Parts: sequence; C-alpha cells; structure tokens
Amino acid sequence: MSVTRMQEIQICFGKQKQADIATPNTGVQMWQLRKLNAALANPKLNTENDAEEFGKGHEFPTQSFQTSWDVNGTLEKYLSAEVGAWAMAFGLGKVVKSGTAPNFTYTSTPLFPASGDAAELPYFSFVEQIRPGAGVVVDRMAVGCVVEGWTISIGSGPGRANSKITVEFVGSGKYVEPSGITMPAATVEKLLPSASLALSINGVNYVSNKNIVSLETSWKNNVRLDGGFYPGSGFQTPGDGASGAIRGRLEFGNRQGTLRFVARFENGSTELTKLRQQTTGTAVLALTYDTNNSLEITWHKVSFASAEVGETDGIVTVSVDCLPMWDETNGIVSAVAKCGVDGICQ
Amino acid sequence: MNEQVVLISPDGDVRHVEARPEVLVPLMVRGYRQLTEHEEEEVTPDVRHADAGNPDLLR
Repeated sequence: MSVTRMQEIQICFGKQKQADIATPNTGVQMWQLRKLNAALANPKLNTENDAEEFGKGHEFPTQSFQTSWDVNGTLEKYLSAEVGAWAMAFGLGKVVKSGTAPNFTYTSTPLFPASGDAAELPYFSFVEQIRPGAGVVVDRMAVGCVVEGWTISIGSGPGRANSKITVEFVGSGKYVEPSGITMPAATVEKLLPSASLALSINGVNYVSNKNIVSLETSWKNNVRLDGGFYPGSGFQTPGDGASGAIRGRLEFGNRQGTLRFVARFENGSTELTKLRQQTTGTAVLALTYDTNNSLEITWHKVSFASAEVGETDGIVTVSVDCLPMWDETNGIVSAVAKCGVDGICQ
Repeated sequence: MNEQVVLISPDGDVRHVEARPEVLVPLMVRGYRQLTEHEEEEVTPDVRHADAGNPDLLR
C-alpha cells in the first residue's frame, strides 16, 4: 500500500480577490505557488454538547452539536516579486494597479476606515490538493480567507533562505470539498534575494556602509475572528442550522507594524544617539530581481524603541527595534511591488 | 509623462493622477481608491470635468 507524502501537496489560491466573502474564486482567478512548510489549512469544526444542561438526571452529555467552523493556515516561502505583491495587496488591503506586461506595479497601503475605507480585508480562496480525482487524498477549498499578517525576514548568507516571507491567513470557515478547481500550472516566480537589498533607516544607508546583518519587518491585522459570527452570518450548509456557523465578515482589529534589524556597531554608529534623542525618519527597504520585478516597503515615520549592543558571530552589533508611527501625509506604511503578473487583488 | 490612473474619493471626487507612489500614497491614505475598468467606462468625459455638478453622477 502506498503512502502519501507531503511533497505531493499542491496549493493554489486567489490571485484575484473574491467578489465577496461567500463567493469562491474560480480557477482562472487563482495561481499555484510552491511553499516551504508542510502545515495544512485544516478546516476545524467546533462542537458543543449538552453536559451542562439540567433535566437529564445526570451530568453526562447525551448530544453533540456542530457550532462553528474555523480555517487558518500559514504560507512560508522564499520571497519573490509575485508573492510579495500578493501579500502586500491582500495584507494591507488597498491597492492601485498600474503598468503593463511585463511590468505591473502594485502600490498598496492599509485601509483607513476614518478616511472612508472598509474594515473588511480583500478575500481569497485557498485550495489544497493531494491526488485530486479518483484516488483523492485531499482536495478542498477554503472560501473567504484574508491575510492575518506577513513577515519578511532578510538574513546574511548566500542561500535563498536568507530572504523569506511568511504569510498567515484566516478563513470564514466555509469550505468546499472536493474543491472543483483544476490546479493551474505553477507560476514561475522571480526571487528577491538578500543580496539585492537596499536599506535606509532613519537617515542611514545600512547597505552602503556594509553594516546590515539581518532585518525583519512585519504587519499584523489582528482580525476580529469572533466578530465574524453575527446574527445571520450563515452556516456551512446554507439553510442547515445544524451544519455549524461560518463567519459573514472578517474585519481587521488593531493593526501592528514592526521593523527590527541588527547592524554592525562601530565608531560613529548613531543608533544609541537616535534612541536617546528619539530621532524620527523614514525606513525604506527594497529588494530587486530586475527592473520589472521588485518590492519596496516604506515605513513613513519610525523612531527607535530600543537599541541594544551585543554581538553576532564575534562582531559587535546593535539590535534595534523600530517604532513605526503615523505620518500625517503618507500614513503608516506603503509598498510598491513590481512583477509580471496581472490582476493581483483586482 | 508617467502613466496615469483614475482614483475616486469616498465623496465622489475623481482624479486622474500620475501612477507614482509619492502621488498615490497620500491620496490612498485620504480614502481615494482606484476606479475599476468597469467604473471608468461609466465615467464620461463630461462628468469628469471639475464643474460637472452632482458628484453622485460619478458613482
């Protein structure tokens, strides 16, 4: 009897956004990308029982009820122009597309309800398949997913692992099995290697002075999961109240951005001074494959929240946590992603 | 001349702006969003004009 190995897992998900939380992406709106982690986005059924109800004569459950559904998952990938554009657009929530093939440009910012934006993030469907068809092992589609957060990690060293992105997502709970999706051909991605980094933080170019060791930047939406279950939010099987509730909306909560980095610390390094003086400035990091494929993230106003001198591989370094702050003109963060794929988050 | 994109504010103000981050980002932060191709077709040249009148016509 053959075993099923995780190398067989194929995923595809909405390159384009869903029309609404309940309407799944079609196959042509999806793309297949590879990933590094084995974890599956398992639909989780939450149940309750009647153990605490009086009138049965005992304390033991006699019935179990399907109450609600959860879906969540994580994508770990080498950072590419394509997934970078996707993560920024779906993760921040607002995107303007410009350009033409092979140079589409996606400018993304967070949504701001105070400016009239929605609090719901763009939705996508997520498909996992292992041997779909007659000998199916796994073939399902989570509908109505949003990006909970992304983390980009840049390190020192020659390998692809020195430039990675992790994307966490959560779903409405709705899933379709079998998915009914024909897996599209895998998208060939343009990797954005660590060696291409350009980095300027608070007035210092950490690449030209050859001091950057590593950095990590992230965005977290803190999606209000429980708020998705409201009176009338719906059921896994429409019209079947016993099939478990699903979410009818996924809104972001109090969002958080982070930027931290480690740099060599030497005579003239300004991190401790800027910490004491609470100097503010922009932080711009850019990774480039070529002129048509790149990702640039700008934190429009940062100060240093902490700066601690230590060591990395025997070299004196300083580890800095930045505090991203609101800039009156440009907000908190923006991302400009270029790639050859049309229609991302459209 | 850079490429232009069409943005619309929550109250219906339509702008044709250069697709440069330094132009787009401040507008996006203020609530402007990109008109979809379908929406762009619905915005006639006359209505785009600044003194065209009722901004509801743009929706």
